[in-house]
Amino acid sequence: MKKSNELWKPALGTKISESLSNEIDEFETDIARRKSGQIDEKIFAETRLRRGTYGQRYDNGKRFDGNQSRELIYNEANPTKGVDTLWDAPGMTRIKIPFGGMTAEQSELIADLAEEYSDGIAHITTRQDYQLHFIHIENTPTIMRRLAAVGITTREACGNSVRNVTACPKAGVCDCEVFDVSAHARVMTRFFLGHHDVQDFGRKFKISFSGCKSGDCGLAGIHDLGLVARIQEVDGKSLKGFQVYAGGGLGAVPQASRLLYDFIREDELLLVSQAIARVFARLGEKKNRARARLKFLIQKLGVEKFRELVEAERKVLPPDERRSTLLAEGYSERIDMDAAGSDVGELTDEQKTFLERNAFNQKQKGFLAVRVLLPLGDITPAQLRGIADIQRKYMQGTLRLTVTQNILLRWIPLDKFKDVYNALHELGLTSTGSDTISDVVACPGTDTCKLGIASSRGLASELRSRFLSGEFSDDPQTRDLQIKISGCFNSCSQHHIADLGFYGISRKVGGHTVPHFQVVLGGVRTDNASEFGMPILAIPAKRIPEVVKHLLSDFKKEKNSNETFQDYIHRTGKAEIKTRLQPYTKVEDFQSSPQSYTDWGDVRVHSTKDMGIGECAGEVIARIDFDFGTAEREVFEAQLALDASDYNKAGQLAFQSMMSAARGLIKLSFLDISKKPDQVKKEFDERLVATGLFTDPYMGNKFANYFLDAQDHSNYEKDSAHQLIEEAGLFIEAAHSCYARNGDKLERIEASGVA
Amino acid sequence: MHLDHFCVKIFIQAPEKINYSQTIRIFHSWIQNQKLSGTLIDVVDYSHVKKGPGIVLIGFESDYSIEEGSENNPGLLFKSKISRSQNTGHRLADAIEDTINAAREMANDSVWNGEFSFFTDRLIIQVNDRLLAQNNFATFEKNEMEIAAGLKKYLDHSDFNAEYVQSDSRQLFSFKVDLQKPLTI
Repeated sequence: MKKSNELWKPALGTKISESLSNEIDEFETDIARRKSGQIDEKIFAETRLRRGTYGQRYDNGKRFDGNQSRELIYNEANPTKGVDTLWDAPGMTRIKIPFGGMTAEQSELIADLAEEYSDGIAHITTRQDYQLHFIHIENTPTIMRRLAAVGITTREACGNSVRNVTACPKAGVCDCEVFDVSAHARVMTRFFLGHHDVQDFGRKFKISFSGCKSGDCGLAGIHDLGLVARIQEVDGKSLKGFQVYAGGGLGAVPQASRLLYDFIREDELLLVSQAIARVFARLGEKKNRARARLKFLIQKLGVEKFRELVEAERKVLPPDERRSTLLAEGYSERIDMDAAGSDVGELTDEQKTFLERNAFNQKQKGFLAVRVLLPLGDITPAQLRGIADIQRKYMQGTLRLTVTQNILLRWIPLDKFKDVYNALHELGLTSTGSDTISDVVACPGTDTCKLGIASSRGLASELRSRFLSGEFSDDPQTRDLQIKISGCFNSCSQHHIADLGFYGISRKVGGHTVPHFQVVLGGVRTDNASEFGMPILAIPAKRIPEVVKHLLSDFKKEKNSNETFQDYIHRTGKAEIKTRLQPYTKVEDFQSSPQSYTDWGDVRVHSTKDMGIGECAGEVIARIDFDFGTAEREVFEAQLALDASDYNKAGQLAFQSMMSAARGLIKLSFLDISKKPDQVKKEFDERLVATGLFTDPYMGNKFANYFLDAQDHSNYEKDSAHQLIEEAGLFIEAAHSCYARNGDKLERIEASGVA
Repeated sequence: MHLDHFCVKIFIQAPEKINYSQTIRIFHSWIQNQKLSGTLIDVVDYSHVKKGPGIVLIGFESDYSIEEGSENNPGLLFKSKISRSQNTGHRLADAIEDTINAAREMANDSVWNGEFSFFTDRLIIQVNDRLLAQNNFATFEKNEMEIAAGLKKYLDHSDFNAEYVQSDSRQLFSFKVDLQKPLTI
């Protein structure tokens, strides 16, 4: 808990927009309310998840130290921040970076946050987010404020909502692209952020944009909603638009997305996406988390029926001018094309190798893009500040984070290449081979994730060091393969689409738990993730390097000319490969080989005792619980305002709290209720009072009238504000009681006429 | 407001002789055997990151790491996350004490066979909070007396010289301490 937390809000002043500032204030209030026991732990957990504030391994206060499970001692007086999640236990903050685009100022801020609040490292994920680990919950509002001051939010980075919208990092500079999708990714992000139609999902929802069909950057095939750029001739005009794929996802059982629309115009993008979201919110599974992703709904209904529902939903969507104004605003980066360079000039051997392996010519003549390889996606504050300097001196526009956990620097004039190389060299960032076999992708795994079974990062680090040391050869025939390693079956590293994929499991050998990895071969990441690998067999973690060496060696010896690795796997057959790898399954006994019983990078005897309940899904909290939570927070803030003698604020907040509770009830049967007080009162009166649903069995309509008689104004005095606060509290209780009595009757969605 | 969240770095002598991967085992043993005060949580290996934090022992109150750092100057870095005392001087003294305790445990571990030692005549100290301490000489001037008080409190003498370290204003506020009487480790 930083001493400076209370100083940051005034220090940042007007740098934060009012709406963002209010949101963060609300979260800070929720933290205080949870700490004083006023919010249920499950609701608080989902609240913080939707602010990108995650739990981490050992946050239940227990850790296996190699000998025994040891208790981690924290302040017992503090509450939990979720089920079995201790308040003071370090957590993770996930920071959304829409389409991976970052300015220099934003890079510098991430550097500062990694240094001041985390363990000195910022980590890039396979979805173009940043993650900071070992964060204390009470520092998170300050982190959010500092991010907001540079235009970044953590909102909905986790939880059952729309996650970070990703896009091809080469968008705008790639010679394969149909058009630059950066603007569309940004528009989608802005449209859905906090949108009421994405608050009632049973599970996360992931969206990606691809500039082309054949690439491996956007990965539409593995997203809930994948948009692939297309241009179609309509009435003699070339119209920009998208192929729409829906229902893709990895997780334990991968499912390819299905083509929903062969072409929608770009001005239909938000309409169609919103309709899809609403159908998912309405019909998606909510009780069984394991089957709550969109892929299961589409499987159940079939694509045709799902499309019909989306079309029906489109027709009843209320008007929203944001769908057109956001698109019209668009997004573009001001580029001075005259800065183009003519030539890279004379290069040293190292610079030539770096240019060949890590850079490519942009479609705009005279400019290069450079891939900066970050081992395991990790970068230090000093390196980030150096990257920011490069952005300012040599680049234009934003850099892009990549789903292979690297950074793409763009718009570098050819004649500045050497300067950029030298600057990167000073930072220790000139490793070659980005996005190749030595650039192993790994999820956090057992380092920090509660679901981790085996050490994905430990194995990734080991494999990488064997490539760098020359033990594994740097062969052009295998260089462009990719290795992806997940700590468990949930595929956060996207191991299903790797050439060589691995996911962590454990096996019992001679009474001991031994870390293993399942070998997954045959994945194809091109064509937007077109094929998934299948598990072949389980290999002890410490023998995976031998397996990698064997597979690569066999491939080089046996491949037909121009045969891809996937074709080779298919041709050889999984049964044959399994037979060849079978000898590596052997684990020597504990006495002879104790190192086999520890994981990579760990000295403890392996155990799965440290696994916990994942927060990836978040608890499914009914939308109305959030609405009631909002009402309760607002009436609490009204009390604080009254204490501070701000009577107008107190009165207005009290009125707002009643509006929140009323709208929450109304939304159960009328999703698109207005925010205007007279409209809300009218709907409340007709739907809830006239029907008797809100009538209290003992007090009649007394509490309903508190709301119907209240007025929103700015002439509150102490007594009138106080009275309204009291009435608001009673009204909110009555709303709870109404829901408890009549929830079933209220939950009938009429919007589209489809049950 | 008083300075807080001190980081203290003590430098390793002959770092080229050290196999840093041994630190992983040592840090795990500190957790097993509760070698340091406070809640020790886990060990994280960042040795794959050039000029990075190295091997880090994560604690609730503090982190400890054997790191190369951005200046290619390996050492043990202590980072205070929770303060126990009320003013700059006390917090600084606490931070140095915790650093030296950890350094002593590290240097004396049998795995090094006596080959691991620290420079005992110098420290680098930072404040890991940009709002509390802007990185400029004025911050040092304003807090010089408290810094001296904290150093004196820990060292129990005044044979030291503290000097502001000028650097990129984006970096953390730092000062170096040269000790005429070496530390006992």
